[in-house]
Amino acid sequence: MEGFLSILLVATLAIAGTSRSLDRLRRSRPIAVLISGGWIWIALGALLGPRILGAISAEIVLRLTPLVAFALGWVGLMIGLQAQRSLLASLPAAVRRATLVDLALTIPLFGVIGLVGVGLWSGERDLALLATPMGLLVACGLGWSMETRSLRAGRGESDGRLSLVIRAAGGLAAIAAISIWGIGAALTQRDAAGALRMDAGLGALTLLGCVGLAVVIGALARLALQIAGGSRADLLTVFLGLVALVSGAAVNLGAPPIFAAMLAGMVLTNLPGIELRRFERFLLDAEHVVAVVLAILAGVLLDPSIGAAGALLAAGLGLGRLAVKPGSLLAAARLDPSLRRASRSLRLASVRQSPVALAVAVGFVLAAPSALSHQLLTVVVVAGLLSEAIPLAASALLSDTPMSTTTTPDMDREGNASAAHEGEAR
Amino acid sequence: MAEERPEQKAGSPEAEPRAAALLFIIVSDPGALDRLITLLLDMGVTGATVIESKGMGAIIREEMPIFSGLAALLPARTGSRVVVSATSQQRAADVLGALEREFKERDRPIAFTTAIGQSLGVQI
Repeated sequence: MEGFLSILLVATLAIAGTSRSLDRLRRSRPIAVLISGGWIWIALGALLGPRILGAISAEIVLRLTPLVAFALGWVGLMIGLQAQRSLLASLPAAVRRATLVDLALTIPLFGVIGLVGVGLWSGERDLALLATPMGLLVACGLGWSMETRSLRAGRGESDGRLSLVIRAAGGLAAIAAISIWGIGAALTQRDAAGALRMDAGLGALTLLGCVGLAVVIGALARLALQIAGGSRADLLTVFLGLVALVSGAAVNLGAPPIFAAMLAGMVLTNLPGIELRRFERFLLDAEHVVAVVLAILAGVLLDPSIGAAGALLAAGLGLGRLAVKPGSLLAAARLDPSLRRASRSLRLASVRQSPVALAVAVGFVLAAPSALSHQLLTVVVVAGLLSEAIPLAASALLSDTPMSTTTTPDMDREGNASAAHEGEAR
Repeated sequence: MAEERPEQKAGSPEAEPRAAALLFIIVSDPGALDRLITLLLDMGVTGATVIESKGMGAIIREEMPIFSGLAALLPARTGSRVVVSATSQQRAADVLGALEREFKERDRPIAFTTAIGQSLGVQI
């Protein structure tokens, strides 16, 4: 009964919180910042959670793992469906450059921070036990928040172009983050005694299983969409069935549902002959509702007893974002000089943590429930909060100078030629 | 030369069945457009303009992407269509009736008419 009531409460809050009647409120910039990162809902979850009101307990959330896995599968499928081959091939060079630089800078830095930070915090020296938290923090560190409206100072062309780069590169980085998390989680398995160990062989089998699952899901989806009618009810039935199947199978394989579902989405969207427009639209319509559900659950699962070590780790991750994330957009601006004229606050948008981090961290808690996993979720949330606050504070302190203080006519001509070529290529 | 129409009440086809009306049909599901066009042809509407559009709800949602960053580069695949046709009041009323019969309520497009006062270049 408690489980049912918890589901009802979370679902009601999610639907109410994303209703059209709140659209006007969401257009306020402070509210947009609070919503895009899920902070309002995380706070609500913490309020309802075991440490304050006790309306929803962490144990109940863990017992509802199949439903949470379903929500994570939904997110994964949504992200995977955006990975169309033709779209990825036609991405502007600035978007690809921003993503690659993000990967190159974030993975080593956050890998070191995660390995050293969690090692010192937990006192653990076994690499197998440190690999998963390290992988979690790397995955959470990749990419950035794709919402830019709250940071756009102006409506000029430069702001518009940079917003598009931020959104598209953020989307691409989300795919990379989930892939890294999925591969890392697959390589770390529990043995018969329940102890974690690195197992490349079993990990490879798990990954092959995920790929096979994705292909099967793609084939089933194709058949189901052909049989189903065109109504929303038919699409809903097909969709719910696919997500449930891929999420459940992923859990049984020992792989993260978000990863397996993303692979399934990637296969599905690149299969010929499937009309996916309505399917995609259906997924996107529910994007905010699912995000609110995951944020509330994250709030419930928080463990504030991270101590000074955990707080330092979170601060390190936040400062790490400030150190490397602007570099990604700077690298993109070398290919598109118009990006350099974007507003100062927007240029720091890449510092803000991606919402995918929350989904990955919640999945980690469900897959490996322990005091450390709850605390790592809290670290991710605190790091995310810092990553929201730092750009706001920094933009107030920094003078409003463009990305590059000097530009030459040659650089501008090069950028214009590059932009024209990209336009022709599309 | 612009053709003048007598004053008329919109939505009163019985009074002025041959009077002109501008028929708007908003299809939020691009997949239903094919059915709609077939229906229009069946009802004798042989000319219409189809405009790709986007609902305000979609714009509001796209301004705040959570997980759908790449979807920003796929606008045409999730947009709506607005079908506009200048036709007679009677025919417009027939089309609205057919939409009511052929589409279930939850799948039904939004449709309405306005009166046309003057027109140029179109035979109604």
